[in-house]
Amino acid sequence: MSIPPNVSPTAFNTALNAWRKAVGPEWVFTSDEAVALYRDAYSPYYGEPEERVASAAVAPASVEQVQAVVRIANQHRIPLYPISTGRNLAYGGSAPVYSGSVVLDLKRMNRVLEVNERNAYALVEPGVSYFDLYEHIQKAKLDVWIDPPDPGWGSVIGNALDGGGGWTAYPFRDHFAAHCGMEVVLANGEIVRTGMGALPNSKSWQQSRWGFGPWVDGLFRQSNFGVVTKMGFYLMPRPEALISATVTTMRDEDIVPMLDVLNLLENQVVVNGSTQIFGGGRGPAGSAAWGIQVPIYGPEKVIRAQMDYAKAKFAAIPGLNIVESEMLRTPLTPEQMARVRLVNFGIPNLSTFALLGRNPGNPDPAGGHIGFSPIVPRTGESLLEFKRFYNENLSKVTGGENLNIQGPVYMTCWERTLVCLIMFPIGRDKALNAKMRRAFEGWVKLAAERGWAEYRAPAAFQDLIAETYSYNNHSLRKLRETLKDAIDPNGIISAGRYGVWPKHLRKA
Amino acid sequence: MTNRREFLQAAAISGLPVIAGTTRITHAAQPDRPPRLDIQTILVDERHTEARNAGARLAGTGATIHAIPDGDITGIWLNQIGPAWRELPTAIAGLTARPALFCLEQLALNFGLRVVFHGEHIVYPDGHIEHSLLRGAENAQLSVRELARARALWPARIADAIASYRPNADRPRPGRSDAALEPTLPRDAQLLTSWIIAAA
Repeated sequence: MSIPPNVSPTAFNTALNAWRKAVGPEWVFTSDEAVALYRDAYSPYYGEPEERVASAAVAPASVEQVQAVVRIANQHRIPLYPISTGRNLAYGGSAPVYSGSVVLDLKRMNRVLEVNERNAYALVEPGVSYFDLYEHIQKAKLDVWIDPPDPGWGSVIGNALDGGGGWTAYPFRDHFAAHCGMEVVLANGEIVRTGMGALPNSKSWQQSRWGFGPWVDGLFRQSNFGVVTKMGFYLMPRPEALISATVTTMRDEDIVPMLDVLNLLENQVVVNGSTQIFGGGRGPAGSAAWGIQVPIYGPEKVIRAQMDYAKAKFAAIPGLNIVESEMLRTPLTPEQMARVRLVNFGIPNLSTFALLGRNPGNPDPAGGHIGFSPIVPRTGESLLEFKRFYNENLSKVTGGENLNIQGPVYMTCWERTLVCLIMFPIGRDKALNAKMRRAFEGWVKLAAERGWAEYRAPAAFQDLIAETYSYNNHSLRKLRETLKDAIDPNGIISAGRYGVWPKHLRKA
Repeated sequence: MTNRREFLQAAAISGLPVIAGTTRITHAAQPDRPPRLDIQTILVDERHTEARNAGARLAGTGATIHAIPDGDITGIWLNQIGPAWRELPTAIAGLTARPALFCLEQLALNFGLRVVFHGEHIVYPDGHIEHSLLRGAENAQLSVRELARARALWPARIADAIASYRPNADRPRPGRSDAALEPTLPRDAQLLTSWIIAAA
């Protein structure tokens, strides 16, 4: 049995026995085979000494049990690492950032507490996956959509807290931005409810986001200040229809005015769907230099007018080709469901894994991957600058070797944000993984010199990326550390997550 | 849809009677051994003849065979396995590509289920096949040698192994399989995975 670092065997055994009393002995996991289930399948250090692994796991079923587990951990100074469904693949999965932590597995807390169709919101526990919430809504025949990420098997709460996003309409795609109210267990076992939830008997906890006074919800995003045990989300009433157009050009420089038009249309909320940029020289010879897919959700008459407006704006740029797709009215027919991208219609699915697996279009997959996804200013000039940057530096970061690194993929799926994604295959070949890590680190450093940095990262690189956010002698990190020391003085919750370490583990 | 020739080839491998339709194949009782696992749901990757053949063979056990399109388990998860497991987690089995097993194993963990049988079968462009049995071979009464001897009829042997799998309560609970990542293979080689997910 593994012991967490800086914890004596006696203290650990005492804690384990106390946890067994609190949650039931069958929900405390210490055997090698049970703890191995929490390994990160996509770890870039898989099988190496640096791989971050759990020492044990505890699975409470209620917020009261979470409080008990946390109090016990605090008493014995045992590091905990809360996970929801543990499927945050490519970002660390269910493995802790601080190796040897005890995983606090919240999967058993899997109740959909409320779905309110009239005001379009849901309140869920951390073990609720997008599949669970979707099924709940289908069974109850409610006319609201979820906004699933791809794949859709992860936790609704976990995905939002880690900065994930989805593929339907604004303002639902940014999952943290679409949340309303949370319940948190702090390191001392105290329960806090945010927003209107701090008012006893409030009936607007999932309606009005801000409550009264300083808004603290952001403290729990990509952080380690508490264990979120409930979270509310705005849901989208089922839109009547979706209409889409694809705008393409054969000229590289046209991406500048094209992106300006797209930004205008999104900022006006004329275009509300998840837009896509493709091209950049990655297509076959003779294909368009750039293309943008422009989807709009809403009532049929309204989106017809919005699409006409959007097309007219793009048509003002000479030489563009604009092709409108069929209007798809919801609910979709089975035939339509067989040919559309389901996540764009609020339907969670797992097709991503089949696509990433071996198939005629992908004959040599690694299966696992990590991604470097820096945020770049949302202009065509910046996009072209990134494209040059990538081409000029690829050989430098890979040492001249072809590592099958894929990219960049230009993502405009979150409003006012342009992410330039580079993907690194991860396998079980340690030497190859080491090369991928070096390449990743190279990109991080080179990008930071240009003011570009990651918005979300695998556990193995969180410290590296946190270092790049260094304005004013790392004043942001120091502020976070001050808060950490106050809220979790023994540093038991998710030590090191997103670069925030408790005092006793900080480097001098 | 499996043709008659494939169905007969698949049936011939073990000498069991060829019965069209869905008549259940019964086995003589063996009182000293644990009972067979009752597997009612079988997944086959419809892109691969070998998987379809195994499915045709297993149809004779009365199990429902689900052909998964393009290796994507979403439909069967949403419409069959997910709702069924929420009521009562039961054993399932399949002959698929690795991603299907990876996804189902991840989902199964929530229901206390594990991969209890796992075989891998690399089919090379020149027709030769490399088998490995990563877990549960003894419970399935199967060996790599038998699969090699079966040659092109190995899918039927896999089907028989799945149908005759007997869980052993004394065995330690299996951990995660390594279905997460695809191995590097020669170009045009295919990897199929045979598996059973069950309580353990």
